[in-house]
Amino acid sequence: MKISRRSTKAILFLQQIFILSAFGLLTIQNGNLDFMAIAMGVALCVFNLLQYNILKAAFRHMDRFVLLAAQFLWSVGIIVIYRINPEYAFKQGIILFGSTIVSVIVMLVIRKSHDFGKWNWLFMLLAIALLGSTLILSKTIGGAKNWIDLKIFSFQPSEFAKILFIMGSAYFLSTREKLFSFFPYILFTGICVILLVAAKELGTGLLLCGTFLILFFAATGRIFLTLIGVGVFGVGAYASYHIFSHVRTRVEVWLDPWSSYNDQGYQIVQGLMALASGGLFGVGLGNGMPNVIPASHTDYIFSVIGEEFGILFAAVVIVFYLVFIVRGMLIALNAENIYDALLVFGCTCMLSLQGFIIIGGVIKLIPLTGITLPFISYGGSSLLSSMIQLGIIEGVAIKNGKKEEKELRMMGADVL
Amino acid sequence: MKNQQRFRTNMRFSLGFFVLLFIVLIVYMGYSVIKNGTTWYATPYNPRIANARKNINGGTIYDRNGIALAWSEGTTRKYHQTQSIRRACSHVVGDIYGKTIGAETTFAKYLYGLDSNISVLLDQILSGEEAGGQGQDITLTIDAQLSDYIYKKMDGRRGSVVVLNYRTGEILASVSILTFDPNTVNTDELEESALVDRATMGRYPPGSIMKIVTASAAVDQGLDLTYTCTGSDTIGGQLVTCTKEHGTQNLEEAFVNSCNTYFANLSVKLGGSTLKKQAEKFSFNRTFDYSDITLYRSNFEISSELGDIAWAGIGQYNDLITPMHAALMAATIANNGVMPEPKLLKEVGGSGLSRWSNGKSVKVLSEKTASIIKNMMGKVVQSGTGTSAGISGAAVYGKTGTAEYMEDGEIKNHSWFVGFMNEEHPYALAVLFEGAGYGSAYAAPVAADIFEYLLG
Amino acid sequence: MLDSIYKIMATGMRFWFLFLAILIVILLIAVSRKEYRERKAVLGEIGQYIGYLEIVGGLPEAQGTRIGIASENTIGSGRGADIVIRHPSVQRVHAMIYMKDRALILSPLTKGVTQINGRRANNAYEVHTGDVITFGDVSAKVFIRPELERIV
Repeated sequence: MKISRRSTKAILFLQQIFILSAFGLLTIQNGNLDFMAIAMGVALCVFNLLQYNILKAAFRHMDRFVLLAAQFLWSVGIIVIYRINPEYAFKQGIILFGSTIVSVIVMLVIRKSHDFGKWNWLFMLLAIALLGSTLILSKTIGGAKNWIDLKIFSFQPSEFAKILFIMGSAYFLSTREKLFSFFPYILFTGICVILLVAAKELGTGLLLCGTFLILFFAATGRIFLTLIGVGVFGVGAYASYHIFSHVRTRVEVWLDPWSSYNDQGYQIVQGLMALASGGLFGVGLGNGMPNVIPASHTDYIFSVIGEEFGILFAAVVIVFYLVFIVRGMLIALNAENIYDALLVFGCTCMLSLQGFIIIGGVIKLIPLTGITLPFISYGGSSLLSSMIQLGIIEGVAIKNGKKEEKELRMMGADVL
Repeated sequence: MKNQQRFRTNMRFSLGFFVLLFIVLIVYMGYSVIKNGTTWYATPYNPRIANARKNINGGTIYDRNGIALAWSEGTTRKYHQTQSIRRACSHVVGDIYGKTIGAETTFAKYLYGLDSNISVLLDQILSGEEAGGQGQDITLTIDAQLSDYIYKKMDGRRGSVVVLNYRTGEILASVSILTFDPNTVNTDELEESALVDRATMGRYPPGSIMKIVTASAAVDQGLDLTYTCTGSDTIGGQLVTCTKEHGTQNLEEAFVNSCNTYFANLSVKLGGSTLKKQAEKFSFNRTFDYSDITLYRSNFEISSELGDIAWAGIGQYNDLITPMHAALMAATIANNGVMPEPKLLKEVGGSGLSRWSNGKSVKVLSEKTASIIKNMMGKVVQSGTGTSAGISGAAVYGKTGTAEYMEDGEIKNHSWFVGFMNEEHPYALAVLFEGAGYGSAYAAPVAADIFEYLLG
Repeated sequence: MLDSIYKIMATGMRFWFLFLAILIVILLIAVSRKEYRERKAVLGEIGQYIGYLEIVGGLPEAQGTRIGIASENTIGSGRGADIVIRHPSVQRVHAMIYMKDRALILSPLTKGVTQINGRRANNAYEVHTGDVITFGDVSAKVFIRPELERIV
């Protein structure tokens, strides 16, 4: 009996065609021939193909579809970033390359390990330290203190604190049964969220809350307690609305950005105008006006996609994130133990929720918060963090695959 | 083992939750962009429009009879040579500096070729022009000569006149004074409200024209009150007065006389929530999202005080309405109870692009109720407060309104008239003069002049 | 001029990009679903297996091959058999191996040689993990899933 792998050549091929045609188009942007564009396109294609094939060969049980989805997302990202500013695209490319290496290391580590035991306490302290440091050492960008400039490059500690949070959560939720023993974990979550809200990083704070509630529910299945958690979250949100003026501003701007157009509302209004300008099919790559939108290459990149490619395409991008979620869940469902499952589930949850929060903010479904669109937004820390999470997901997938293979072998089946 | 099973179930549940979240995301995005796209886009804040104006030759804006109201020579925008026509149509046409929201902004995507129509671009390239360098011409529904006539009849008095075709919703004229001259709008020193289009953005207390709504509510409820007017009445501690003692009346008579005390009592009898529901049927408190015009919200509130309900029913208290909405109200009665969707754009590029989607018209009243009100409005012009709106040669239906308001501690009156003619000339209108006085004295006669003009 | 060409190309290519994206996503979903289903089917079936037979002798080209045992199997050289062993010494329908009351029973069906651990088996006989069954000249070792093994 055999299990065969279905061919993904067509998907790979089409993705590279997409990249090449986009960069081909960008080559004749601005009225003169820009050979760097097509060079970038070819480089990206080569990178994607190499990465896919090498990883497939090295890790037979890796989940190819998650990787393909991620590849498409970051490729679209680089295309749009290049259109906005080629320099950023180069930087993003380099970061992509570097973070792939990191993610491979993560995969290697995860596939062999069990939970980290006592190390988790260190992880949690480290997370709190990272978040605390943003409060103390950072410089202010756009009203939110989240960047730390280390002269060579700047990095966003909260992006990595997120991952440590997931690891800590997975550990606690898989090894503890009694409610009381959860207490240090809940305290940890509370501290993290407060630190984030104080540092005006509402997006990441929301993200942690959401992930916490979902993980908690999944692990313990206690609906009642989860609802209490939601209630606490609601009370917290309400309280912060009254205590913090920056929270109030965000909500007001969300409800009516046009009245504060000259100040806070500017970004949202421009984003909406870009989406409206794009309509169903977009205005065409390079025909839009991303320059009037603040953070168009980072947080607000979705509006540029909406303007130039149209909302139908943007909907497809959202579906890609959905594919990510579904595949991630399947891996989690197949995991050997609850720790692994929670690890993958946490990462998948976090990436998807992040996408939801920022896209929701751009289309004015929920108040805008400052977080990046995973894999697509420009940003070293963001991409690196997403890649690490990808590595974790793949790592567990490999672990699952190995276990499955063993079982299949034992029963006389052949895995190709 | 069992724990793992439950865990798996919980995860599956979360998966469903996420899928739901993302579906909501996609649907909301699609819905809000499709619904609000044009509204979001056509604002003066949009740098794309400003950018396009610099680089692209804008198309020509024609009125329904082919009179060119605005066109580009190179990158300069030129307007009609007659000043009165310019000023009459200026709010509808708009300016190119983003100071007003008129056709220049609302239809910028056609005028400046932002529509991304491939065949148009190809045509341009093939004929040697720069692709996307020339916009398309558009034809509006307004009649420039009618607007000019109205502008002259208004004689510089502040206010607004809106004329609609109540069958198709086409806006034939929308004149607002104070106004501006698009040729010199950037350099003139204008009074603050000269750039405000009173027709769509001016919100005034409706006064007695609100009785159309109140009366229709009574007809719907089958309530024909008999009441004797003694010239004044106190309701809920608030004094309501009439211009004279009207005596015993039924609904029709009170409507024709525009008797305040009758309608005040009627409002109380109907009840605040019934009245509010009826007003909301007429699109009060509704955020209008018409694609061709930006129409501000009209307001209708009630409170628990009977006195407030009484005043709300006769168009005071916190009632507010725009002249455009008032014209739409008249159009509703004329159009068998259906409020048409107001349209400003007739054609794009001479392609006869058919844009008559009546998707946004609203059924407000039953045909029967509408015809009863229409009848009453006919009597208003024949023998009631609106006789000065009557003309020989055609039947006219209408309602006068005298809306009180406070200015500098003084009580003043806005002069209103809304009305329409019969099918052969399917026109509805609203006339408003700010602070002028009685509706019958100022607004109605101008309405008569307009009806005469429309008669041909 | 290039500017105009670019504008037209970009405007035209919007449909191309959308088309590609939709195609990619549909393929991605379709292929991953197919693979998932297949995997699930196989795993499901494997899950049904009671254990396996591992060829330990008599068939050099299949030495070490494991063949899953379902709850009821016919063994023989004929095509219709559940477990096919191609060897001249193996009869077309040689024996049956099946699960009964948590015991794995081997039942010879022909006059051909069937041995358990070297001793001739003429009737139905219970087998356990580690036993070597010989069909004709071909020997196979029995492995039963530990959780199903009856504690004797």
